[in-house]
Amino acid sequence: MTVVNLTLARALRDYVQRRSRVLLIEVNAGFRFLRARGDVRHYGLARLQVLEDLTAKLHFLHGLNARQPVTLSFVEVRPGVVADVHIVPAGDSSWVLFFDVLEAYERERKLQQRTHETLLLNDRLKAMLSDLRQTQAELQRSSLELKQANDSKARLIASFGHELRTPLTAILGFAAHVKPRAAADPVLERGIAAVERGGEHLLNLIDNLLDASVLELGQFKLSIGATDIRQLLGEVADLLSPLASNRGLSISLELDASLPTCVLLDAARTRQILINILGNAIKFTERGGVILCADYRDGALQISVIDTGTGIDPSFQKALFQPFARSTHTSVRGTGLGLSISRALSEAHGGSLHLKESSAQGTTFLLVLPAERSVELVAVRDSLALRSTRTILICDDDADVLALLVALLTDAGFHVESCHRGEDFLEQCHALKPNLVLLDLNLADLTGFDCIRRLRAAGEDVPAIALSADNRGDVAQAVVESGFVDFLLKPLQVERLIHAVDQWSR
Amino acid sequence: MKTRKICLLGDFAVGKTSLIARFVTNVFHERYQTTVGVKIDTKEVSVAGQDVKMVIWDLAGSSALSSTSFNYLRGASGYVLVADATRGSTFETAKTLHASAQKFLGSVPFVVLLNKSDLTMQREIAQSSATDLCAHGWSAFDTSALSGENVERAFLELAGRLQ
Repeated sequence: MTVVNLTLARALRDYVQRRSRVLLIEVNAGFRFLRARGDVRHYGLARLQVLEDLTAKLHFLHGLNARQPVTLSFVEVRPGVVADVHIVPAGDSSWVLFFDVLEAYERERKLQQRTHETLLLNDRLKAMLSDLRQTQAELQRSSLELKQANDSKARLIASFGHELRTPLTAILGFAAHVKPRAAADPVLERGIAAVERGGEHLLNLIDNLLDASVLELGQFKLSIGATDIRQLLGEVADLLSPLASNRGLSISLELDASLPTCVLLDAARTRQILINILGNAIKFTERGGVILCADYRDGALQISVIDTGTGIDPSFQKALFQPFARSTHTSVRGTGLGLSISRALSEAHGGSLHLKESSAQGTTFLLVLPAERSVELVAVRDSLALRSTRTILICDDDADVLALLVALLTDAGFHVESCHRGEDFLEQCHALKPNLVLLDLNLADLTGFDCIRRLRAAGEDVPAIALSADNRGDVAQAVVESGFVDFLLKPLQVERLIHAVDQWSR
Repeated sequence: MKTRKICLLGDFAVGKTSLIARFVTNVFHERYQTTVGVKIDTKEVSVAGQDVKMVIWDLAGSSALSSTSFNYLRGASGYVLVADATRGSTFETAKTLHASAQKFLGSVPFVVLLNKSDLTMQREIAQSSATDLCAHGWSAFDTSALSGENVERAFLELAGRLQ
């Protein structure tokens, strides 16, 4: 039994010796070498002399106390040799024990390397996330500032547009009013025509800027209603035919039998798109003519504007629908907003506007507008005798505009009363019991909305038409919601004015 | 020549091993290699006409000192606290380690190194921090093991104060 135990103990000792390259060095209190047992060569300590200072060869012993037990893990004793070192006092001397732990060291090192790299990566990710959050916050701040700047710009343009539209109402209105009387005087007639052209150009510029601003802010709202599309196309052609004939061009209208009379769409915006495309076609065509043709397919209007011009420069075609895009190959004036607005308006309708083809022989634009068929409208024009029985009360704080409205409606045969202030308007309304009131929204003392509210509160149900130079979508919406029956935008179109007054004063 | 033991303390990956490599052999390795246990180097320097053999203990990075770490600290005449200037948290670790080391070793000399000063764009510990620490009586240096900036100066400063 004793022999077996002794054999087992030797085997175990040999195994540990092989695996751990055990070295035991006996030292005195000052780490001076006394004797060694084990693998001295493995630790680079083969030729130690008795009483040799061990700290000179084993630097890590410096500063330690040989009489104090201590364990140092994973000590790099020499390059490639890592050991756990134990200092064990025993009697008058001490033992320094070495156990090779290279395998465990390598395992630990790999594990720690991975852990540290992961932690570092985590730190970097956190830093990147923090940077991203900061960038995102800065972007949001910039975006907000940009939006505020854009809103300010839109407000400025809207206010600017309103201020310009009001005097234009008087300029264009009076020009139209006195035009028939100037027919006998060619100089006066030319002068009035020049005033009209200048005013309309200015109005066009303002409208384009306002539209671009509203579309950019996404505040655009359509006003869909039953529209006589055949009449509308005819009106547009008629409107632009003087421009075409001035340039020696023909203008023709080709309406397919498939085209219904009445469809549901935003008539004003459709007119605007058509005037823009047709106007461009006329402006950029030197000889020949322009054709406006329309048909109705798959629930949509297909309107083509075909000209015999020299075509659009291929390099410019891509930028054609970009805001402020202007070809360098022409001297024709414009804001460069017309086509971009027209496309945005057609898209707001759920439709499209694109350049179908362009060559040296001519250009074709195609406008597609989804539009449901609607019941037909019956246009009624009342007789002068009938109109004279109707009292129209107008209230506008702009003296020129008020004078114009009074002149236009009086000439049209209506009995007209007028005032400048909201309070006077309310009084006159009660006293006169008019058939219809025309009310400016921005009076000096009250708003048009205040007036209509007080009027309705007093039990007066007279139809009221709102007048304003502010053409923002939300104003039109507010007008409808406040109980006005119609909204006339300044500068006023005389035909539209008379038609509305006829319709609502009955 | 007197022989003095110093220890480098700091969080992992702050550049302790690289600082020693720059000071002892004037080299720099780009790749990060973690230190397990302890690695000992020596360098003989001459400060104010006195030769000193510095036994430099490169301890594995950690955020706190364990009982094993205290064994490594035994007999140290001074220490170097290292923080990574691009990781603010390592400066807090250095302060914690300083408190523990001071408790164990008593009032021995030490220096503070704000390492990786070359990575100016990623810096989280303000450039003025070293100056602020100096104003509080600490010896602090902005160092770069990559460029060698202030490395020798910092070690020599400590060597000069070792008893």
